[in-house]
Amino acid sequence: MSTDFNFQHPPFDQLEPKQRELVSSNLDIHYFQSQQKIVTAGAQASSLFIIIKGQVEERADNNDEVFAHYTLEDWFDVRSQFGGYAKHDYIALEETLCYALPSQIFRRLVSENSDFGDYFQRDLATRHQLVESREGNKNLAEFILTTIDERNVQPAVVIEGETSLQQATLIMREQKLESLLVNHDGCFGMLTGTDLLHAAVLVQQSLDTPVCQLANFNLISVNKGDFLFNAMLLMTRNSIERVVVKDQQKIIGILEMAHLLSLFSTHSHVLALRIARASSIEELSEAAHTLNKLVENLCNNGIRTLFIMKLLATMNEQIISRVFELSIPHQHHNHICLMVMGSEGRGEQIVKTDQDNGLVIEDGYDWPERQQQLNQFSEYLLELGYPPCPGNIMVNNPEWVQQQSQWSKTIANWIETGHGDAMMNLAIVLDAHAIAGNKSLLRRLRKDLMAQMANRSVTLAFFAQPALKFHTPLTMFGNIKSKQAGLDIKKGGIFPIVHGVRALALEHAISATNTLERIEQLASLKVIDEDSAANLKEALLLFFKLRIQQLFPAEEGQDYHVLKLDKLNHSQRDLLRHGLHVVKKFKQLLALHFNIRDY
Amino acid sequence: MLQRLLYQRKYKDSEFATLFAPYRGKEYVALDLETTSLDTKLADIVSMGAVIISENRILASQCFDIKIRATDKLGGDSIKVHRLRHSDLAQACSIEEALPKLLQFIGARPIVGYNIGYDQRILNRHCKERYGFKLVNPLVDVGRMFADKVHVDHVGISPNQDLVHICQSLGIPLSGRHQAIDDAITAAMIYLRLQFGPRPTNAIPQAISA
Repeated sequence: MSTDFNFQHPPFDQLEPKQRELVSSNLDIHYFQSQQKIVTAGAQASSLFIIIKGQVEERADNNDEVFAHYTLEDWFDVRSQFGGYAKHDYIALEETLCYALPSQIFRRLVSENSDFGDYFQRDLATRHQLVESREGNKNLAEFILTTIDERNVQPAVVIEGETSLQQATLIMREQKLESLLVNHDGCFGMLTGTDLLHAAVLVQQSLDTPVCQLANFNLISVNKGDFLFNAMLLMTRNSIERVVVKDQQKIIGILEMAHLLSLFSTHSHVLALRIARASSIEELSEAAHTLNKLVENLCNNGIRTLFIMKLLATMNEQIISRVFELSIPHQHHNHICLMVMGSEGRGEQIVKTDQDNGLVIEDGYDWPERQQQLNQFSEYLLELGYPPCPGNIMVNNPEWVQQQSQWSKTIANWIETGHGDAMMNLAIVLDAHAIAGNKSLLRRLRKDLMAQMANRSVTLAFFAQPALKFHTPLTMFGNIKSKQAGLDIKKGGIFPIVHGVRALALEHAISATNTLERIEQLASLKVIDEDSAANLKEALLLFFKLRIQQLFPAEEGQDYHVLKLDKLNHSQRDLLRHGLHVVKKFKQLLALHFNIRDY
Repeated sequence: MLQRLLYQRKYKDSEFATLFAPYRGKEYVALDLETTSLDTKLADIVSMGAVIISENRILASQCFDIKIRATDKLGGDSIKVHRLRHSDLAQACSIEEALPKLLQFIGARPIVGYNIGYDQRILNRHCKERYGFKLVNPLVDVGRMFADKVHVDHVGISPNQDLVHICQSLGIPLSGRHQAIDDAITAAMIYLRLQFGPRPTNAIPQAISA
């Protein structure tokens, strides 16, 4: 027949013309009334249904659990197509028209066309685990998801602390090593070729100096089983070239940046290195402008959202601190502290976000040319593609550049005011994360804030209230509710979790700024039970993930907080619905916890 | 009724016997013809599409879809409507071959269609000329059916029976291609929707968001 079956819709777009003909000539159309049972659990499948119109719900046959909703162009029930029995009931929620493709034809297509078959296999897999990488750049995904083990660690050669400089140099040369581990009374230190050169040539130490005086005993280590990716972030963050790998307490080897980079395909490392080595704003600018491209690449390769966010946070931090170094003379660095706020402070941005930053200055520190240099800093960030903050929370605005005691007074004022903008400002400062200068200044400031807020339950309730402001987009019956424009996931999901968790973190004086870390700490303090904590984290990550997927391919003038539900497949819609239920529950918990009425 | 009994006797040994046998089944046939003009006395059939409706199913996989070889009446205007050019029809079969096949397919089932009276008149003309009988199958016109079922705001206002309007208000996908088989399937969907679904309203529903 020549129906209007949509062959543009994946995976049907994978079919050859002959196979399309086969589908077309075998499709029937079934009509179901509202509440009619389409598939009964335990029945053997005869057709794969593809919805033309309407909504279908997958339910356990005792009716107490809903598994999924299907709508336009979704299909069901793939699981039972391969000779199995339907696991659940499928019920039409409204009048529904479906194409019915006979199971044996479907199976034939799956066996004839591997791309088509893979898609269904994958579709099944996504219900259990949402990491998939597309063809083409699989090695990147595989690499990033690789864990540290003996295969990618270089063996560490351990020498005694008494070994002389000369001997150590010989060992390195003979064994072609970049570094050695030094055992000094059970403490391990790292000795690199550079250390030896430095000692012998620049400081002119004698050649029989014991190496324990030259080695660096502040070892940074990773554990066997960690992700390679995290090791790379750690090295990037600390500007070091190698880390020690431990298995429990035992050192099993060394992981080198150079080696890692040779494994690492493409540009994330190149980018990190370019940022670290940029000596002018122009060089930095080139690096900064490839950031979005990098994120897109990672997204398209199915890299986990959490990693992408971590990477981006690290990169942004590096860029901003480089800008800081390039625009503010070094002698001031010890007396001031640059903080970033908002999503950047929480390490949760996925695009280069607005410049939310501020400065804490040591009490009484005199710095006459400060305004001009800070303006320069904001100017540079603009050049690198960081748009100005609409609320003007930037260091070129004197309100966000204060000495410590001034900050303390400002915060006290906000707390006294107790509502509106003052509360939002408080929330902003609460997420502040120090990225350059003397970081202890911010630590003290935050301690001060926590102390001032202690035991002020009324203010806390006012602080928490905005988390309940936006309606969770679920209908009376627990289905997703969305407007024509789409679903604003920031208002509907992300903000309530982020802000609610922030309020709880403030109450319990938790110093972490990242929402996921805050949730973990709240769970360990028994403020939230383990299950809820896990659900909250999953939900938040899912929202981030859905939002990130909206970005690529980017559309002109789109608001990336607004999800287009019609672009989601049914398993994603399903997860989204579950996520929103988690938000709803969390909001109820907040209302109860902070005694917020009228919710 | 009487006509059917007469035909039943007259054609009992011909290939058309099934057309006039008493029908006890529960199936329907949705039918649509594409023709060369809107004048039933002159129009020739360009293509035929028919599909069986069985309970809540449209058996589209076993549908009847035939193009008829061109006659000289295929004028420019109707080509614009259904985009079947003379060359497209060169592969098709003649009306003499196609008509008996269609009648076999339909059998004694009731015929469903949009403005089905028109298609029936054309078929009748062809059958009368060639075999001497007219169709006696019951007809179900989905436009009429819609008008009967729809809630009207004021008594006496005749509801809009335009096909596009019907499809929109019932939320049925309307095929954009004027092909007999697609239109037959559309008619079948409208029939099922009106037969089994809730009473329609005359208002166009808002687009359903997922």
